[in-house]
Amino acid sequence: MPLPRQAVFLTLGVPLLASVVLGYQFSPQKMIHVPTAVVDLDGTSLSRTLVHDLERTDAMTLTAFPGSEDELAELLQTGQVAVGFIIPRNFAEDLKNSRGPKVLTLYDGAQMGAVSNAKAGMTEVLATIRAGFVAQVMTGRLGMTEEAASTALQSLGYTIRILGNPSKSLAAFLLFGILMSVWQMTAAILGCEIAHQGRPSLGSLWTGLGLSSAVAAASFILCLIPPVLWFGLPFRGPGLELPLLAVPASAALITLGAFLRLAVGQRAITLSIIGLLPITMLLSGITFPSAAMPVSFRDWSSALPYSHFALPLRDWSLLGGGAEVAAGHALWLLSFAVAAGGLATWLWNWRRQRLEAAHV
Amino acid sequence: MSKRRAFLKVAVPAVLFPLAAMLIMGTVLRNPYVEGLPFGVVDLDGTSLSRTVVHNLKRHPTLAVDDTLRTEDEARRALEQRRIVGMMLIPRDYYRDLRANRSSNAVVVIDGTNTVIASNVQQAVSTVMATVSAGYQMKVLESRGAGPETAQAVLSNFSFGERVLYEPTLGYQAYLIHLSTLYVIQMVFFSLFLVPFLIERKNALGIPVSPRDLARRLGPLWLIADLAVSVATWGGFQLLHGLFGLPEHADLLRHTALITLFLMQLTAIGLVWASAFRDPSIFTETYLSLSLVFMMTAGITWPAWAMPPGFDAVTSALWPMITVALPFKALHLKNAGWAQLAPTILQGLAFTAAWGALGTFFYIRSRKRSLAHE
Repeated sequence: MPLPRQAVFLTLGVPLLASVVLGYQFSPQKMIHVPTAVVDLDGTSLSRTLVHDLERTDAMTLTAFPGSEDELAELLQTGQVAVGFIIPRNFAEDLKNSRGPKVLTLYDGAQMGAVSNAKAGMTEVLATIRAGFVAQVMTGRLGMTEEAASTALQSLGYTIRILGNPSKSLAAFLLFGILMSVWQMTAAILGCEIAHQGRPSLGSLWTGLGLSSAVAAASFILCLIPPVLWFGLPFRGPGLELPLLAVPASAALITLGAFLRLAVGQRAITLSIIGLLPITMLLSGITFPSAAMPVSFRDWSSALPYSHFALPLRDWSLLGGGAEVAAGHALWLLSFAVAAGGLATWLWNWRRQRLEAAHV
Repeated sequence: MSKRRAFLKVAVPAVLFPLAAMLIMGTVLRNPYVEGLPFGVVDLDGTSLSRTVVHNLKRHPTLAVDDTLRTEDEARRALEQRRIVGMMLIPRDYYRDLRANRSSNAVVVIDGTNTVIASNVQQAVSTVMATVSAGYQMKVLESRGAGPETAQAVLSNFSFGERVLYEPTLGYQAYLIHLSTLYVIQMVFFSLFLVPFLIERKNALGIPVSPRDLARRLGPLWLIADLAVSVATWGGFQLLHGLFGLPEHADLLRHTALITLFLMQLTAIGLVWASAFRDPSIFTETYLSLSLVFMMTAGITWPAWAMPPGFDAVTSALWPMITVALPFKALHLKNAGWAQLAPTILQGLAFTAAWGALGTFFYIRSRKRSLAHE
């Protein structure tokens, strides 16, 4: 029996389309050049040096120079800038006389993604600038030699190495997770379409489920190609071993869709339930960490099929590794597929018998 | 179908689905802080300074420090096995090298696969090291003859402060709740009610489907959906404000105005979608498959200024979410007034007019084809 054409088209086409559209959108990789406004109330050469130092960082771009704090507030309120930087009046003089002038950075908390990046960049820049200023004071006011000032300002040295995504690229962090969420919806829809009572025999149902799993597995792999080939997303995993994850994941989602359709009966209601699948992306902890969720939600992640293909896929993408990264997850997904497939078979038989009894 | 049933079929999902989604999302994301992340420390220095570092790391709420790891290998294995999310190795002679002004670094390794976790760990480590550094610098200055007050004055002579406006915790709840609410509203209105209704009317034989007739039949249900979804979601935001402290400033009028504008735009584009499908279920499948793409291109997860050139213009010409999502968030978090919302309203009306005209044309044409086909 042929597969439902529209559902096959959706399964193959939509994740691929999503990977091109979203891959292009995320192609800048990081949210750099955050729009920033500077209010320089001091207007001295020293304050201009400070502004110049800020201009040199990639994290933000100085897009506005309002004349007052009120104007800055308006820019932040309307979302035209995400960061505001205020250099107070008499900044240079207060610094010279050790009166402890304080520059203030304002962030638009409604733009969390941009602000998190800008904050990290701003802290780094300001710490460097501050160290320079304090060293000047030490050599000037305390009469210390440059070497002595440098020793006094010696901070505890440490280097941070971030494995997998050292540049904290939002695209590398998010994109595969989003694509897998789109993909799982189309795969479950295909499973739902396969499992209708028009199937003449159980063999036909299982053939349909098998063929659909192959289509979904092809779609799984296909949608990873554009972001990696065209938009610079890393993939350090083994390309040839991708089916190890793609096939069990497809079997799990296809049988889940089939089971739901046979359990619920009505196509429209089944589709409404499948429409809830994106919430599994949230509950899996792939973005918002499970550790920060209320206790009752923390353990859900391991019970969701999504966690068992999206998380190892991201690990492969960012950290690399071989089949061992996915093996345990693949086994879990296969077990899930067997359980869901078994239940679907039982439901199919049960519905068939009821239908035949009604005919008699 | 009786009027009462038709009313309930629209009103019940319009109230229940968004409200349930808001409460679930609000509950899952209610904690703005990530705490108790397992972190390993290997202290090979064993001096008062390194112990101060370990003590401060232990006191930091973000980290749950495991100091039972004795060697670098043990710590790296724990990191590989995901028993810890990061580790710090304080080398031998760390304090001695620091005092001798020799370069010696503690090594921090963090699992970066989840950026949220990695950023929190990095921030916690940086805070601890900055605090211990400041104490150390004070001691050095004092040992060189500066009194405690002078040392304090020198080190704090140039300081910087920061303030996060509108949502000081920078939590995930306020980051996502407005967008996901619009997503659920769109799903209920567009895929459960509007387009299936339009497709069924298009396919129905023997009834007139002139624009006036369609407006007469759709109008009351549309208004019910609008009112139900507006009141339910506004109530949802008040509830989240009361339960979890979500910043909330919108009044019902401006909230309803933005929702109404969003539904008007969806209706206009819905006419085009309805003219393209004969089977409501196929429409639902197509819409569901694409719905996450609409959500992710709405300018919240990836802001318009960071998109490639022209991307936001194309997106806002094709789908209304990007037009409404940011102003909707600004209304609730920043109390955006009518003047700030005016450009959005004008843009939304233009979208409605353009797609409405196009949609009506396509819809009537497909209705004629449908009749001819029958």
